[in-house]
Amino acid sequence: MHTIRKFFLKRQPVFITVIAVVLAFFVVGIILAATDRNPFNAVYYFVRGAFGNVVNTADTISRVIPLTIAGIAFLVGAQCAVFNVGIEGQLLLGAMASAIVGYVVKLPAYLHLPLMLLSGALVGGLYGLIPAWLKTKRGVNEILSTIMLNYPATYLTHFLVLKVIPIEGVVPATPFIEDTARLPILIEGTQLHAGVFVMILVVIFAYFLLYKTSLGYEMRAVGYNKTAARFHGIPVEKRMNFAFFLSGALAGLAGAVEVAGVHYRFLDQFSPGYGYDSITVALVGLLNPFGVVISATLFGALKTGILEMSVYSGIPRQLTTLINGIVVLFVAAKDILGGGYARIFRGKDTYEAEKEISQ
Amino acid sequence: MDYILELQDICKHFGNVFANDHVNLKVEKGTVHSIVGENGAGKTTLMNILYGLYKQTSGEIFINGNKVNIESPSDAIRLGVGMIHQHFKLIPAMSVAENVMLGEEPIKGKLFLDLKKINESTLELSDKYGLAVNPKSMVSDISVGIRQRVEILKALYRNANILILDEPTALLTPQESEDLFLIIERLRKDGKTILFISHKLKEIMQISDNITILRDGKVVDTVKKSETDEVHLARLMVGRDVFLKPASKSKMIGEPILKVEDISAVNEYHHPVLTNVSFEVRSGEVLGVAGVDGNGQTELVRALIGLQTLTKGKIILRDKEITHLSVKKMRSAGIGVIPEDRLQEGLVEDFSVEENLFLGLQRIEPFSNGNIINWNAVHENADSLVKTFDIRTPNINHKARLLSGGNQQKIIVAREIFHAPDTIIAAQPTRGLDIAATDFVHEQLIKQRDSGKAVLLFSLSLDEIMLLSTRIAVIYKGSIVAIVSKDDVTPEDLGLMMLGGSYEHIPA
Repeated sequence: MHTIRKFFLKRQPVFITVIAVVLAFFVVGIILAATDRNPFNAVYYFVRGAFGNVVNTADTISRVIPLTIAGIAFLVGAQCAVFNVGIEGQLLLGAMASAIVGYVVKLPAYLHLPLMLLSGALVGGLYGLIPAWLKTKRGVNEILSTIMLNYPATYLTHFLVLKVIPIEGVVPATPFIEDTARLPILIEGTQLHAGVFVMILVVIFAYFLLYKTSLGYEMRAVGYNKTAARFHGIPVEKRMNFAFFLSGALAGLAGAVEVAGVHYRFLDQFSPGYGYDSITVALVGLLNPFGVVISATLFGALKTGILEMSVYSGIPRQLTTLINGIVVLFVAAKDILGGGYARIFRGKDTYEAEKEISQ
Repeated sequence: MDYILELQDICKHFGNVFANDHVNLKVEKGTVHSIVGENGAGKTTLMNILYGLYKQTSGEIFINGNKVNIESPSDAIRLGVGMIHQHFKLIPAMSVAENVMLGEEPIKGKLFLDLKKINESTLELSDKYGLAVNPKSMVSDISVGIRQRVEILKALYRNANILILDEPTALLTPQESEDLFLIIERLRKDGKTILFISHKLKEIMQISDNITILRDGKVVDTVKKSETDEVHLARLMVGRDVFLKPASKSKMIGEPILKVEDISAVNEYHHPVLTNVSFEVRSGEVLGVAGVDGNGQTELVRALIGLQTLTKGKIILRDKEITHLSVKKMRSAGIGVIPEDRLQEGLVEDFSVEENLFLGLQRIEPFSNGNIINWNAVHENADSLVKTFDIRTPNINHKARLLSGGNQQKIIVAREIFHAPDTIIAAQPTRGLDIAATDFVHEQLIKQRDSGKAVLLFSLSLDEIMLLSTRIAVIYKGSIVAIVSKDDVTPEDLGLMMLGGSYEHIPA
């Protein structure tokens, strides 16, 4: 009994998140039932849509790629006390830069593809340095500056594809990138592309950086307690600037991977808000690189699974927004569950005692 | 004998934890009765029960021989029990008198406060007990010592006969403490009964009539002051013999290691905070810096680790000038620091014990090759330091936030001593620690001194300065006003100098 309790107590944040997600789906089920739709049917079509066959699973994974990379972008910032909510803008600018490099430059594939991806990362990173400068030199709150900087980025790319870059066809977009700049499709007939390897590299990189290097240790120290970091000789502003750059660069990379693997050009409004979703993904993933993969899988599956669900079970697609919202709401409010959870696994008495003593 | 207060078999359980375990206490009317014990011994819990903040699990309370039921602080106040908490509960934006009357204001007509009467009755009470409080001052403008007197006035105004003072000297300067003891003496003469909670032996011996010692929630003994002494009390409190005696003499004082030459600094409003400060700390000695809080100690510590910009002067460590270097460079030059505010400056609370034990050392051997952390070395270091310094933690991956203050301080001391720099700056190293933990930290500092390091000790406690220092520097308004050998001064001399009196003027 004691070991079971210990097991659950040690992993409290993980289990609470899982419980919150399950509860959210339960509430969605009640809503479906209340509107005379069979929730079990819905779940069936949802799972089938997301993972039912090779094609569906491959498509789900192709959604998980940008969500994971962008989620890691938010995570590396947040671990260093940088709350970068400007990932959408950085992602769009990175995508634009990589698309331009992709169709303008002529190079063999082994140079062209890396150059194309790196240019996206570089532009995203440089855009991230604007709020960095505002924060560390001028004291501007980065939540405000980064969210506002999404607008110029969005409209700049909009302007470029509409007015500056020659338009091919009817949709506003850049010309197609060269074959040498494309990430190959892994399974014919699906959207699953080699960007999945980029994603795996990014996850490993983030884990290695944060938990295996001195630099990552210093970033986390800054994230938890700037005063102590400063007292122990860690250059706080430098580390935060780096976190801004890295966060922006990974966001830009997420955009570049979408261009190189899915659209093969910068397509206006190609991002269904990956940058905004990345925040939820990172938080649900408990700011842990591997947690982010799991949570991105959940949100990726929501996107593909709900398509099929709406087609077959007659549930309007608008409901997807609702379901998404309910999951976010439950996860955001999950700490409400903490007390009850501790009560169950710590034993009522001990829980009360700790609460008393901590007052 | 006339007991004003009697506690019988008081038990308080928090779950499986016994905070008070069959506590019996008899308090004579008109005495100062001290309740002493280490942190966590159950003193505050017991007083909170008496004041109605907690309800006892079992046991009975008698006041003036009558059994009483105290459910809330208002019950306690009605029964004549007043409590002066460690952290004051005053409204800074109101005057002293308004704070005293709060909740019991005299009304003029039906609507208006009788301000005149408020001020008059406050003044009257203040004069009666020699509190010397101006009823019209704003609380935000008065010192900590005076604020405490306002709390006492509040209790007296509500006709308290039993006054509970919970560690009242924790935030006071030595002079303010002396004044408080005079006030307590007056209250006692007037027939009030004082329950005095503390773990400072010296003041307990100074003012108590009777002393009850608690350990692990149980009463160890109740003794008359005349029948005990500090060493005996310490043994009862801790359960073993403790250090407490003045440190042995410095054995081999060597070359100066840290030299500070004529440094000055200003704050953000360009007011001087350090003015022409010069001193040196030699190998094998402890230089104590004595002073009233806020006289430049914080800035001096910050200057010595590179966080305070200097307008002039030099800092020299082993013949190498380290003025204006970055924190990182100053620390790698050989300065270790036990910071004043351990939660903010000394630790990353959300880091584990092992992560905290190499904070600031993350880029040097053996913890990393400069870039990649060697976690095996980190684990080994943590295992050995936890053992050597007796850091009580379930495991080295436990978050520092979840440890007690004493154990958090041990992490800091262990790390800074392991770092083995030439100079250790210890700022308020035992603030908030109980006797056993204090003893431990003192022992470690003396060990470092004897290994030939230079120790610079900042403390607001004169006792601590007198216990550990080889020489003592007195800081006043950002200047060092005197540097004297410990054997040449008395605490009284120091107290005077700390308040701006000059050494020459002290009669021999």
